[in-house]
Amino acid sequence: MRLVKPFEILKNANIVAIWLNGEISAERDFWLKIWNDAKYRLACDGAANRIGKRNDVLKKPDYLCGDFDSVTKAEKEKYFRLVHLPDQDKTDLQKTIEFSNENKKDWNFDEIILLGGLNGRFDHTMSTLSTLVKFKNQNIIAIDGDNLVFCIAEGESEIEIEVGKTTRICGIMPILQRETIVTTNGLRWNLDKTPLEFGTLISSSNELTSNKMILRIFRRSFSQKIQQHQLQHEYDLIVIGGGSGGLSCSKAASDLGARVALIDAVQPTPDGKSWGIGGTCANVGCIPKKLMHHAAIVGRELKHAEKYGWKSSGNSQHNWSTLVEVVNDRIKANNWVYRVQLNEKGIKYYNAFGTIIDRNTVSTQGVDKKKTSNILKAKNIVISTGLRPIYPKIEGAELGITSDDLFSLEKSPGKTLVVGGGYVALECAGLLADLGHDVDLLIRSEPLKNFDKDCVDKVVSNLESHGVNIKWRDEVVKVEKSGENLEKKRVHFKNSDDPIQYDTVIWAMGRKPNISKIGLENVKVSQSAKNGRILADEFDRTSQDGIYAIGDIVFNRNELTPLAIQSGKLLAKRLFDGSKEIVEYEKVATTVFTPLELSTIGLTEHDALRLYGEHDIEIYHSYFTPFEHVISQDSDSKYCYVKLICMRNEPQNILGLHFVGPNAAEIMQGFAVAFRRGITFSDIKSTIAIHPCSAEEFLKLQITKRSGLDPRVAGCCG
Amino acid sequence: MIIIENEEHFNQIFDAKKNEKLILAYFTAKWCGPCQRIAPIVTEFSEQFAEKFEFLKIDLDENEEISDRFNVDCIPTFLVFKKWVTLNFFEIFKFRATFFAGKLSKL
Repeated sequence: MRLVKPFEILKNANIVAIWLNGEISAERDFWLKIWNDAKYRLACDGAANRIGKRNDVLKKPDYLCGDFDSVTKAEKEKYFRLVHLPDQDKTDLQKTIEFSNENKKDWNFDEIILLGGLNGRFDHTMSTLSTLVKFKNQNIIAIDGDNLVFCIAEGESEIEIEVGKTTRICGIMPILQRETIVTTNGLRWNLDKTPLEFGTLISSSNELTSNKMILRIFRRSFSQKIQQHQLQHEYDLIVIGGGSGGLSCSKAASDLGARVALIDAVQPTPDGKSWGIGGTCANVGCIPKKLMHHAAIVGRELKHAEKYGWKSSGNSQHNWSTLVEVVNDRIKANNWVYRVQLNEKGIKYYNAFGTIIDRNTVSTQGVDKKKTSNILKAKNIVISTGLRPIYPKIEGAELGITSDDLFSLEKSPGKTLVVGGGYVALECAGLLADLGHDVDLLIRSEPLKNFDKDCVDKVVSNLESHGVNIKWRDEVVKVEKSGENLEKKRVHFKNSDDPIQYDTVIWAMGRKPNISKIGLENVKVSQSAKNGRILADEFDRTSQDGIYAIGDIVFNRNELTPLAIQSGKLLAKRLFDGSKEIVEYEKVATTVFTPLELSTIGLTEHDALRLYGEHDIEIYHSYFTPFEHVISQDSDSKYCYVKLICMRNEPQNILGLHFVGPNAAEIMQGFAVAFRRGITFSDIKSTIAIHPCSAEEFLKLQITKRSGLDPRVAGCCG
Repeated sequence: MIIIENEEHFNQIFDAKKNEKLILAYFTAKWCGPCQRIAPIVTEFSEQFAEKFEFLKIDLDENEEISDRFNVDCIPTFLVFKKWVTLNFFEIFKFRATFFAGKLSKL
């Protein structure tokens, strides 16, 4: 981003001032200050005559430049430093600027100011403008009469102005003989990827409203010329869904010069909860979850504080409302930052639901008070609407809430039932228990199905040690209102005669695609018969030409924010930068943020056995005590565990890494980089450890499952 | 201090007051820590400088279009207008009450 500060000239004297031959009436008083304060003063040919007449107030020029066809002999005689530039193919001004540039190293100036050059003979005015264009990559400002003019080249520029020193009136004129696409911010009538063209549309009589103006200027290079009447609502890309994938794609596309519209809105939960831009992760997923998970960890550390010598004030109670308030403040601040980014990048944001009408058309239904609707057209459409939690099909399902509601719940959840066996269920159950709530977790079949079973066992046992009461192999058949004020929920189970009363029931039984109203039936976009997600190939193309899908909404993709972000970025590059790069979906590390965290990359033991057979693989494993638990003797240390799976024969390529312990995500991220490159067991063993830390446990692995030896380690060093 | 409800309201108030006083548009949000901390001080100033300034409180969540228009990208932000000209644009993180009061008195 180029930074231009035209008003610096009024403070900064590190300039070259060039006085041009021009209309006397256009001279202004403040020229005196600029001229006299300048580091170097150059008079352009005949201008010397004018300056000579005012030598009482004006300092003598340092140089007189030009071909000397206008300056009087008498005036010329006064100068000691004459620079004769006789080239008749260039104007005096051009030659003078070039002369200054030749001396740039010695003179060391920041800007060149032209005093005069815009008033008087029209061909002189055009000549000055032509010179500004010629030197467009330099900071040259022309001041004449009431005008301050400078040239901005293609790209992104931020211009700092002191609006108070101006009349506010400004104009943006395209000066090249081809269509120029301009986006602005900071003007009364901002341009939004508007094509400006001399002879068609220029922006004159505009007004400055801010001390900071941002200009984004591009040549049109990859889509058809737009008729002036179709300026509104026609885009290169429409993105439906402003979550991790949608935001990433929009921003990347816009940075490549595309005209982008982003449509995002949230269908409120049955309880009426809604949120701003950013999708699940930023509002009701990763971000609030991790903040609350950390709040739970802080609580646990507080319990150990006395052992380290801290004077404790007794048992710490947790205030749910305080936590919800600070978490939601962070979320709203995030929403704001996203809005600002969209604005700065010139992405048109519609807070609305989008429905695809045909492969080039999307209609929007606004969620604003007026419920404005629009018809948008684009060459490319991206669907990134993501998923929402599933409610069971039972009586009283609506009495339960989901992760969509949990993180902004006004009242403390109290005695809670969490239903589900995936990471959402286990994470929520864990953090609620750690924050002091009475939690039951109902797991119908297998918890964390796609993770390594040994690791899952430890995570689940750890959950129980934190107070989560797990109900195995059961289901909820009915929920009804109960309690004095009907504020509680009585839950009836399939395999148990006694119903149980809870304050809160949380459904965490999986997520379904958000596609009910986006108009897939109007185009040929195919969905999976298995779970309704959209079918897309490795280039994110759906079965409808021109329509793409990224993120959780796509069938058979890992439902992870970083994948969606990468998909969005690469899709934008393929669409607008001629790239052929696609996302690599294998070898993606992930972490479950249960009270004791689980991180993993590569194959689980089960999958490795299935693929290669017991004979051909080697499994190294070990229990360990993280340093954090050494003094506190936290019972969590019983469950801390690492596992490394590799081929049995040299070179022993690593197939999978698994870690259960504190800070699991931080530990795995670095290994993920190595894993993607391809590493062997000897790569691990030959790396010198950092000590003391938990990550080094991977480097200390010695005991194999095959050996049958006890993987519990005694002592820590050596 | 007038609390602005939407862009129409803003334009209305602005046109009504711009010839009488200097207008100070104060951009804030409930979730912004620094904004909450300075809120009582700004209220005090709105009373202290009431003769010369009309304070307009603009909550970001309620007034997205206005913040877009004036290019507000961090808060708290104070815009001082005389008629339609922006005299000064403060983005203050470490709010020093004396500094602010000094600036206002000089306008």
